[in-house]
Amino acid sequence: MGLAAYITKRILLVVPTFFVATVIIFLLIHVAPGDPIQLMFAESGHPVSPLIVQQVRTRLGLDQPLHVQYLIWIGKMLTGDLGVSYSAQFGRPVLSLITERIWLTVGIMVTAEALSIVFALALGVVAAARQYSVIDNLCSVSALLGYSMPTFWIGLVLIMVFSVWLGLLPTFGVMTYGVEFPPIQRVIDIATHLILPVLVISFSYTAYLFRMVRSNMLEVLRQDYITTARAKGVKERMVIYKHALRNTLLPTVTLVGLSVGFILSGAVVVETVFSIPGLGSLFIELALKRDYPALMGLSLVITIMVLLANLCTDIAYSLIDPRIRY
Amino acid sequence: MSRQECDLKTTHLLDVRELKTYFYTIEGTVRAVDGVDLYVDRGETFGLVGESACGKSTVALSIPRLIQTPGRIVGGEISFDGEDILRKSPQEMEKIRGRKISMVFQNPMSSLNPIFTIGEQIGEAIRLHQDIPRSEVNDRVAKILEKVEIPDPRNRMKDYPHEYSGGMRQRAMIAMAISCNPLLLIADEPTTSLDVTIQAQILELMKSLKQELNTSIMLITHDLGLVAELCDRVAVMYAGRIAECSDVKTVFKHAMHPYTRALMKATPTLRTKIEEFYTIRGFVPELINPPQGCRFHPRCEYATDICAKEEPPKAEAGEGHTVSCWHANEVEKSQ
Amino acid sequence: MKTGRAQIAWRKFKKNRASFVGGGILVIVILMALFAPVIAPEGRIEIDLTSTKLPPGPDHLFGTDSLGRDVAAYIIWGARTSLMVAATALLLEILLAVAVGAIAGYYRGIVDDILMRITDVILVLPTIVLLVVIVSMFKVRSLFLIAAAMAITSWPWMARVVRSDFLSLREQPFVEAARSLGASDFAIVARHILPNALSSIIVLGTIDIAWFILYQATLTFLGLGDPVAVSWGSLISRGRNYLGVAWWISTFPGLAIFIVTLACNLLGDGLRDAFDVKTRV
Repeated sequence: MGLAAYITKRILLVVPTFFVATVIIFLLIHVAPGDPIQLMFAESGHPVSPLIVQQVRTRLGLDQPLHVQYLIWIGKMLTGDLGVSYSAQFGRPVLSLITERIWLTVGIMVTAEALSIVFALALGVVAAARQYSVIDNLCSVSALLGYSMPTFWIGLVLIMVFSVWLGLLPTFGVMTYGVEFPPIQRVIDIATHLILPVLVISFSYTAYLFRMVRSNMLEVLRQDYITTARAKGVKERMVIYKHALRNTLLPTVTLVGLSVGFILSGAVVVETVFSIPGLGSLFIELALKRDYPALMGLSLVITIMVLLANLCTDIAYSLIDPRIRY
Repeated sequence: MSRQECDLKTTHLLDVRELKTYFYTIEGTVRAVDGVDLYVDRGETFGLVGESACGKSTVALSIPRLIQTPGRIVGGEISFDGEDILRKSPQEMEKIRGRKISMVFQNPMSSLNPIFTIGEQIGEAIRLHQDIPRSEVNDRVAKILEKVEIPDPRNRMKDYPHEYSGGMRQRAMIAMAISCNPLLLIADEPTTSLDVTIQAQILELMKSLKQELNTSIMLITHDLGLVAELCDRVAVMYAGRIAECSDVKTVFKHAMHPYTRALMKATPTLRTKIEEFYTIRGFVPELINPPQGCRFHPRCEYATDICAKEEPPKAEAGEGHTVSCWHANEVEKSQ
Repeated sequence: MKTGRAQIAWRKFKKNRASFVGGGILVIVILMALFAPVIAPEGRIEIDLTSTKLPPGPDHLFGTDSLGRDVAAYIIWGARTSLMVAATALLLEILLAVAVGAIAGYYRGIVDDILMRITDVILVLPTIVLLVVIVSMFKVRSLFLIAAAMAITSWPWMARVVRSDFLSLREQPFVEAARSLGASDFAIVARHILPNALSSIIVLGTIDIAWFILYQATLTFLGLGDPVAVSWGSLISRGRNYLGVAWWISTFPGLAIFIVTLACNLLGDGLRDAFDVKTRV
């Protein structure tokens, strides 16, 4: 089939998947019992007259049949109109909310992901190569512990230790407000604010990945071609780092692709715990306020991000595995 | 590298004495190889036959010390090219493997690394043991592929294992194994997973290589036909022990061990009539708890009391012919 | 001596001390939850504004929270909630997954295709998005909703596993034998195939319980749960504002979550290793 054709096919597949996602999100929000408008206004705590409710309803097109509403909504989405947030807090087009915050969230997620992958691979390979050794047991136990801890709790405990008691790192937010910083200082300021959040996500994710990498590696080391490599006289070190490692990368890449959701939930939690104004915290706030129009738009954007991440992993996989291209 | 002279004084290329390899598993200790003696001389082709799970593959893996946990070589001596294999360090073994002793495995699809090209894998074997400039390695690889009769070697060496057919993969494995002109080639069931027609081709290939290179070959198989075509000497293995060992003609025509006899009888020829298929009654014993005494006795028609109590010793029955059976003479007489 | 799969699994499991510990902890937690009214009488988790934010001491093992509730007692009652929610989610998940996976794997063909498309559809959306949207779209926030949402997001994985088990098991000779003896489809599935697929379901189920406990805590922490119900997540969330002055409010419930999740993971790991045919050491 050829590599280019394969990649094109994967890219094209994203489109129908995306549409399916839009249908689901749309149905989920519109099929729930209860009048969304009233709920929304109820959450915001402002008393509201039925007249206004009716007006908003007409403006949002909620008195139209379901499929018409869907088509209108999709039409708007595709032209960049992701709806408007009606809640008192935001009251702005969702698109502007998103563009403000997206790079922060993406930055955090990508950094956490990169850190985790590096650590998990390094430790996982070593642990598998020396199964049952001290370092293997140490890592495996730590991973199990880390994997069982709630992310938000880790965040709170670290805040307590490093911010409140030791005063080493800032408690919340993405930067220090009210103070003017020259650019380099500003970067450092932001970095110190983001160290803990990124570490918290990485901690859980590394634990998870490590276990998988180790088990994949053990599986690879059991394969016949590893015996062949040894029978050829390949040094044990090369057997592990050349023959086994490359084969472990394949399922690991797949795994990373499948677990983008993991990093995403980590981001949502961490942004809430550390009060970071990113997409994750926005998502939760909108949900709490039942700001449905905005929630739909944001859900869609997040889903696209995940789909794109999956696409990248697919492509990366096809670049590594020679069997895919033909 | 110093040559560690073996305590065993021997003239054979490979001399294995009382080899014991056990596997320590949850269900118990599997005595896969429990006291095996054999030897292979230079230039000869030695066959090791037996049914599945009799330990022959374990013998094959033990010689170049490729046994991994939970298995371990627990006893015996292996002398190769005058050196004590069991006393060598891992680094020294790495130099021997692929260079002096190389192996061909049963399943070529799973035995070749799927993410490297055939050329890269054979090239690796060459570069590991021979000081050849990079530019020439490809030439060498092409030459070897030609020798194993792979068409269009220059182009095909850039292919991946999954692009080769089963027979071609096995040829590639053989190419990899002979690339450094080893003294001993151990082939573990090289044709078992191939089609019958491809089997015949590989057989022919091995015959011609044998003549050309004068490499010693240890052929592990359960296919007696293969043994008849290729081997000079053959040992019959049962439940972790050698039952009988001699040159091919003797084993086939004048076997003295009941098991060998039974094997020969059980192999149908073109003249065997359909109603006459002979099977050995009973089952192959589990190697965690092998039978007391002679391991074959529960299935043997010559078995008597002593067979159930004591293991028969290895006895000389003629020129280079050894048998382990209490009733070998009887068996011989009832020809 | 022939050993069946179950016996081998049991023997391997027994050797795994960590899993035993995990299982033991779970049993203790379940007992604790069952006997909550006895160990921690309800009075201790009522609001008592005279004893707010007391540090851990002889009277209150883990201190009290901002509303005067005894943290230790709250944790015990919270165990009830967590376990009930997790158990409900697990039950729903297994019902859905086994039904879909079994039918898809057994009948194959178009039925399989359609059912697999449906599972794919759910897998398209990121878990957290699906969870949050489902939980927030209903008027009333309840823990049952959380359980249902978690079941909805997790059943596709188990369905896939069940399906692949069924796909391979249905080719086994004993199925053909049963069919040739005239057994109905349902009987074959229920009596022959399902017991063999049980090991995957058990392992996955145990690991999923750990997930459910974590996710439920996370959702309640974020404020998406029933504000009135006793749950670990909400207590931790309330303790956020007092990290400096009353660290025990957030720390101990989190520890509880950690221990229970760890126990489930240990148990799940042990079960998985016990059933895995490849590990023989």
